Amino acid sequence: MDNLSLRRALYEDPSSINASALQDEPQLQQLQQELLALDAELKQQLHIDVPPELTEKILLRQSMLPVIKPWYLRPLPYATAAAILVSVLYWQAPNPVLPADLGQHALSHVYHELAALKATVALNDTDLQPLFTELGISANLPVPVRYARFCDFEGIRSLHLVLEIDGQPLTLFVVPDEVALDKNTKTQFADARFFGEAITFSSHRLLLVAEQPQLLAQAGRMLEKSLKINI
Amino acid sequence: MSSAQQRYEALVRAYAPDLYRYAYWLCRSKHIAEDLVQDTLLRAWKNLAQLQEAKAAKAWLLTILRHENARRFERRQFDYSDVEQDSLEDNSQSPEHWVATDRLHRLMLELPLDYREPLVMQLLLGMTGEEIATVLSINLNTVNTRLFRGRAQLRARLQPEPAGVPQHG
Repeated sequence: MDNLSLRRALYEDPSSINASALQDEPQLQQLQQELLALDAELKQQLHIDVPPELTEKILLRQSMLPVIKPWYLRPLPYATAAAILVSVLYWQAPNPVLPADLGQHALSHVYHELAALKATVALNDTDLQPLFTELGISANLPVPVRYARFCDFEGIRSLHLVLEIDGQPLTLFVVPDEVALDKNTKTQFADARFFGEAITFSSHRLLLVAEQPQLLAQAGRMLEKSLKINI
Repeated sequence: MSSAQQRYEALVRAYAPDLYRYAYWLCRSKHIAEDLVQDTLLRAWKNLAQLQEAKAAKAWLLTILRHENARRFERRQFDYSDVEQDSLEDNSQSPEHWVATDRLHRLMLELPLDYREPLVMQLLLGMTGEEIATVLSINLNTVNTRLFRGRAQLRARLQPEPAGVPQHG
């Protein structure tokens, strides 16, 4: 190996060259010593402290995940049947308040921002309150809020939240309406994956979307207690 | 405890610390690094059946982590297309090198990612050039060139700076 190749090999990995190969090259010996010392210092720097609870946190989160089954073992027929039933009910039931495509819009919005469902950092109350206030609501939510952003909901400036309920994400759209609506009417919607419910809450519409239908009822009860519309 | 659960726990305990360190040097934020490692290992759980051999675990996890990091960037790009920018999602724009006090630590954080990443893999994770090439999906020559340039840049920047021009009194 010539001088240039040795020099290059030392920079690629200084420990890969045997000292005997550099016997007649005092400059390269010096370079090797310097690079080995640099590597030793770098290793120290790279070895940063790890958060003490990291492993336990990961195992805890994993233990709270639903058991993953291959697609052919999933209860697809039941989910499909439920989705069809809900869809039929949705189309047959009189729908006095909700525009026909509002539920669909909520579902599309959720699909469009699926990444929001994966947000893991719980936002703190001091960050959330100004958003609530701006939208004319007061809320003291007893569950973690993982995502919060203003969005355009059918042309209305609305709030897109992702709440964590029983370890699962639930999307909540708070859509203000300029016209006061009938109080506490509920409308359901769904597709093959998500279930949704639109609640008219004073002068606001709340649209809830989750993969587990039982979360909707749970969230509805929680919101009735913890959310107020400012007058 | 199921065998899958045992296997997963062993994987987490063996690799979570180094994955966290690697993630930190990748994204330059301890906070984001923790999220990245959690997302990586949860995705690993969902796809555990794909991991056939224990010796492939490190490369497999690193590949997942790099994909998760790429998704983070996609998500950020997508965020920018939304109506307003007042997100509360944590996408910190303040890399921790602003507060890093150690010079070598800071220089390493400032090194271009193309050079920083293979150096971290080699020195922190003890990976060979071939292993690095596989995870980064580049050829061995490119890996060696990046290692060469990374070390050369660090060494050059660590040289004592020339004396400055005397200031006016």
